[in-house]
This record gives sequence, structure tokens and C-alpha cells, in this order.
Amino acid sequence: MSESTTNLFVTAIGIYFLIGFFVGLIYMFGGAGRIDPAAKGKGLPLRVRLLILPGTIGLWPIMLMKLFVQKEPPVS
Amino acid sequence: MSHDYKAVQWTPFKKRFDLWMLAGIILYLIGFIVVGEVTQPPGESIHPVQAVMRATGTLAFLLLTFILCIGPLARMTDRFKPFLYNRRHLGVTTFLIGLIHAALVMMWYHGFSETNPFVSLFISNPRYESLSGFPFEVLGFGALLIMFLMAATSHDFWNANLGPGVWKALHMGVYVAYALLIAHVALGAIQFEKSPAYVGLLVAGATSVFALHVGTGMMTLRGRDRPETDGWLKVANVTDMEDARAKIVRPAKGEAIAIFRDGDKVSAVSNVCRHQGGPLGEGRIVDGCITCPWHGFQYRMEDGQSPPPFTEKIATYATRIIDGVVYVNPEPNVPGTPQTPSQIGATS
Ligand code: HEM
Ligand code: FES
Repeated sequence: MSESTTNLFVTAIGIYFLIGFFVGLIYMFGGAGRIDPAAKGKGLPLRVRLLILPGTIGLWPIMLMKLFVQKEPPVS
Repeated sequence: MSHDYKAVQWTPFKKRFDLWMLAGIILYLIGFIVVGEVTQPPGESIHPVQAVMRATGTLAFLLLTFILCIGPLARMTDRFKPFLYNRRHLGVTTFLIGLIHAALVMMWYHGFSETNPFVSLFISNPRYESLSGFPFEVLGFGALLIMFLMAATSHDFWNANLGPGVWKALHMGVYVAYALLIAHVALGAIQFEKSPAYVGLLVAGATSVFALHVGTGMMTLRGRDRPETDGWLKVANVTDMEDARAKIVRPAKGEAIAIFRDGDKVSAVSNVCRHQGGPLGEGRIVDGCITCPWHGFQYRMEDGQSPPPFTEKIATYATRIIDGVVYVNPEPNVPGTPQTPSQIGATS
């Protein structure tokens, strides 16, 4: 890989994670409770909110979609 | 069973387990660094940062090897069950140790130049077309990314919300990560001309993981229960069925089935708990409900539903008793479908 393509690639990864961080914030403050009743309000102490953040950073495209289409967790 | 989410569902056992784990990790790191220092050929010296880098790299690899062996080992002997139940903490810890290794490498080998360290990671060794000269660090990076996703989605919230399919697919990625790591360590050892100990570590690790998986795989294939002529599977003699306990049957395809006896009633449900896939058939019946041995989720025998207010559902199966022998139909009903239990003593 040339330096400029690599630069582009690394920047793209950075942007991906940055967007993920914002989607993660949405999830930490309300989003999680929207798709999962068990994760509403008191059901979700701050420590758990923090645990939700990294996963959303990594998987935000899936999680963003779920925010719009998912009404209930598929398991419970 | 829907409930409040907790950061960690601590039990006294888990606390003890984690303390031992931590003690083992610290001992390994100190031991590795001390032994490395002592066996150092005179005249050569490695920087303490490099020593910690190597100690954490090898430890993460060893831990991942062990994690991959737990599944098969637990199926061979009950002694490994505790590790199976605590794999999550082991996994997250392994990721964190791998992360320390990677962070030290990034700082030490890529942090001192003008170039962005991550760009440097991909271009400092451009021999992508070479086999033995391949930039092995990129492979480690890939493995670490996979391990990150798994660690980040290990909490119950993910389990419930990604759905079993996505979650499982993600976590099967561990095998990809392990393969990448084998290449990472092997090529690293070649390119850094390391001691044969690294090759030994690799071969021993990879062989145990491979042999154990092939071994239990064959056990499973042989252990599949064969159907009777009309497709029903024989379970056991009624007299061999302990009260409030189950027998587990493994059909050629589909999930394992747990057949429970409660007094003079016999019913069958999926062996797989909705929570984290715990083996329901190793649980018992408590207050008329099948109770998972792992974290205590409960399901009613007659319809596979968790008692209200909970909403989990598992598949039920038809059973019958002929001449004192219990049979199960391996075709699952839709999860939560009521299924009349077979009556012991009744003619059916
Ligand atoms: C971004 C990710 C990673 C990078 C850039 C990276 C880089 C490196 C480098 C440069 C070495 C040679 C170090 C030396 O001898 O001075 C090395 C070795 C090694 N790495 Fe990694 N690595 C990464 C991730 C991982 C992960 C996730 C694991 C294990 C879970 C791992 C396991 C090892 C092992 C066992 C060695 C051989 C022992 C050693 O020399 O440290 N690496 N890695
Ligand atoms: S796996 Fe957790 S309760 Fe069954």
C-alpha cells in the first residue's frame, strides 16, 4: 500500500470509530432503553451504560439500524 | 428472564475465580521478565518495555489457547465446567492483555516517527507479497480488532439485543483471530530471529486446540442418537429417569433435547437456555419449572415459557412412553407451544 492510500484507510477507520462513538452516546442515554425494555431507566446503571459504549462503537451500523426497526430484543 | 442489567453478575465463586486469575497473570508477567533477564546472553540487553511487550504478547496467546481448549475439555470432564462458566472474564482479560502488548508495540516501534503510528503500522514493512517477510504486525492488529468486538459484546445486553445468530457468528470469529495470531507469532519469530521457545509455544498451543476440537467433534458425531424407524428417538427406560432431572438426547440435526421427568410426567424441551445457551438438561426442576444450571432462568415444563412476568420461550417436543420406554420426536414445536406431558403408568 502506498502512503497516501494507507493514510486514507487509517482516516476512514478513524471516522468509523468516531461515528460509532456518537451512536454509542445515543445508546448510553436512552437508545438502549428504546430497543430493550429491560435497559430502561433504573434498569441501566451507569456502569452498564459504559459497558454498552465500546460495543456500539464497533458495531454502530447494526445498532443504528436497530434503533429504527427493532421494538423488542430478539431473545427476551 | 428479563431483569435489570448489572455490570457483572458477581457470585462469591466468580470473585474467587477472578482473584486467582489475576494472581496467575501477575505471577506469569513477573516470572517471564525475571527469567528473560537471567537467561539473557551477556552483552545483549532488551529494554524493559520490550520485556513487558513480550510477556504480555505470550500471555495473551496462552490465555486464548486455553480459552479455546475449555469447551472441549469441559465436555470430557466436569472439572473444567467452572472455567466454562467463567469464560467471559477470561476472554475480556485476554483482550486487555493483548491490548497492552499492542499499545507498547505501537509506542515503541511506531511512536517515535513523524508518521501517524497507525499509518506506520501498515507501511513500515511493505512486503505484503512476501510469505516469510509479510508484515506480521498487521495480522496481530486484525486479531486484536476481532478480540475487541468480542470483548465489547460480551455483556448480557449484547447477547439479548444482537440476537443469537449475529452474536454467535461474531464469537465464532475467535477462530479467525486465533489463526491470525498463529501467523502473527510465527512470522514474528522468523523475522525477529527469536529463540525456538516461541516456536515451541506456537506448536504446543495450536496442536492442543486442534486435537481437542477434532477429538470432541468425533465424540459428538459418534454420540448422535439414531432415530427409530418412524423418526422418534429413544430416550431411556422410565425406571432410569430420575425425578426432577433430565436425560439429554442429541438428534442428528438441530439442537440437543432435554427430556425431564417431574413426578409421573415426562416432557421435552430444547436443551439450550435462551439466556446464554446454558445446558438446561443439566439443571433440575424447581417449583415445577425447569431451572437452568448456569444462572437460574426458568421455563415451564408444559409449554417452554418462562413464568410471567418473564417472556422467554424455548422449543417443546412431543414425547411418548411405550412399554416403559420414553421416546421423543426430534421435530421441535415453535418455541412456547404447549405440549401435553406423557403420563408415566398411563397406556399411550
Ligand atoms: C495491533 C496489534 C499488534 C501489533 C502491532 C503487534 C506487534 C508485535 C510485534 C512488533 C512483535 C515482536 C515484538 C518483539 O519481539 O520485540 C510481536 C510479537 C508477539 N505478539 Fe503481537 N502485536 C499485536 C497484537 C497481538 C495480539 C492481540 C496477540 C495475542 C493475543 C499478540 C501476540 C504476540 C506474541 C505471542 C508475540 C511473540 C512474543 C513477543 O516477541 O512479544 N500480538 N507482536
Ligand atoms: S444460560 Fe444463563 S440462565 Fe441459562
